Amino acid sequence: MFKAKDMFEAFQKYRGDAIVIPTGTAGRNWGEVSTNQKRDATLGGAMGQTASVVFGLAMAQPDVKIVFFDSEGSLLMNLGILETIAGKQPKNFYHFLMDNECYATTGGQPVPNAENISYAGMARGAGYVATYEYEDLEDFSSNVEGILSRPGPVFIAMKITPEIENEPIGRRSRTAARPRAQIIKDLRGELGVAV
Amino acid sequence: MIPSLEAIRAIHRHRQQSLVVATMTGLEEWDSVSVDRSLDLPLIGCMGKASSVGLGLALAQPERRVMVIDGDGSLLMNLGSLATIANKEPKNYFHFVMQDGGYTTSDSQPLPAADKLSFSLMAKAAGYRAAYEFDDLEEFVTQVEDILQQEGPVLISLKVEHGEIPPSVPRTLQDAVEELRVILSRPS
Repeated sequence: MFKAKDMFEAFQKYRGDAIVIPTGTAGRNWGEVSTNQKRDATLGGAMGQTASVVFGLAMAQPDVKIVFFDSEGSLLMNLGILETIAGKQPKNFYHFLMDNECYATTGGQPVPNAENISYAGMARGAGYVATYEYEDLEDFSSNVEGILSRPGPVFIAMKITPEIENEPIGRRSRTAARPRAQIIKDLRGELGVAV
Repeated sequence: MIPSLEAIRAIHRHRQQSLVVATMTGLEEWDSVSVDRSLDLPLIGCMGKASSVGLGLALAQPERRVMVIDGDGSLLMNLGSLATIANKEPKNYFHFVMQDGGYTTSDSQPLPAADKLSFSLMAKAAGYRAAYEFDDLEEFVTQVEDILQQEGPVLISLKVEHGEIPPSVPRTLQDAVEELRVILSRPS
C-alpha cells in the first residue's frame, strides 16, 4: 500500500494539460498537489456515479486527456460501467483506481472480499485492453509516464493506504472546496465550451 | 453457440432438489422445462436482481443447492453482486449466465462490448471459487454434472442463442414464494 498524496505527487509530474477528476476520501489529497486547479473537477457526494460522468466527459471531449481517480467502494456501486467504457473504447480515458479496501468516508467498514478481489482482473474481463496493478509507490512512479503516453482506455489499480474518517458526517469540518458552479465555469472556460 | 433451451434442459437434468432462481428470457425457458416448479423462484421483471436474491436464498438454506439462471444484460446491471457473493463464499451457490449478447427482452439491442466481455474472468477476479465458459453444447453437457459436484460459488457462462420457447403457465412471484415457504419450513 502507498499513500494517496505520494501517488498524486508522482502523477503530477506527467499530468500535462489533462483534465483530472479525483473521487473519494483519498481523492481529496489531489487538491494540495495540483498546480492547475482550473482543469480539475470534483463530484463530491456522487458516489458510484462519478465513473459514468467522467466517461461522458471523455466521450464529449475526445481530444482532451481525461484522468479519473476512482475509488473501489464507489466503483463497486456501478461496476457495470466498466463494460460500457470497454464498449466505447475512449482513447483519451485513464481510469486509476485507489483501492484502500474499505469505505473510508463512513468509518472504514470493509469492502466485500477486499483483500482477494482483483479490480484489474474485472476490467480485463470487461474488455479493457490495458490494465495494471500496483502495490508500491516506486513501481507506480516508474511506470506512470509510460501509462499516460499510451492510448486508453487504461485501467490502473493501486493499493492505497486508507485515511479513515470517524467523525459523524454532520460534524466534520468542511474543507474549502471550490463551489460546483465555479468548477463547471472554469472547466467550460478551459475546454472552450459555450454555455 | 449453444441453443439456449438445450442448455436449460441440461441444467434441469441435474437439478435434483436444487432451488432455482431464474430471470428474464432464461426464466421463460426454465418455466417451459421445469417439472418441480414448487422449488422455483421466478423473478419476473426483477432484471438484475437474480444474483442477489439467489445469494440470500443460498445463505438462508445452506443445505440446499441454489442455482441462479441469470442473463448477461441482467448481471451487468448488478455486477457488484459478484464481489458480495465471493465475499460470502456460499458453497451451495451455482451461477449460470445465459450470455446471448443482447437485451432480448427489449428487442435484442447489443450489449456494450459484447465481443470482449468475459463473465468468467470477472467472476474469478471477484473471488468466485471457480468459473467456466462454454460455447459448445456437447462440452457443456458432458461437464455440467461434475461442475455441480464442486463447492461454490461457481459461475458458468454459456454463449447461447434463443429459439422457439414452448409455452408454459406463468406463476406469480407471490404464489411461488408462498409455496416455497411451505416446502422449506417442513423438516427435510
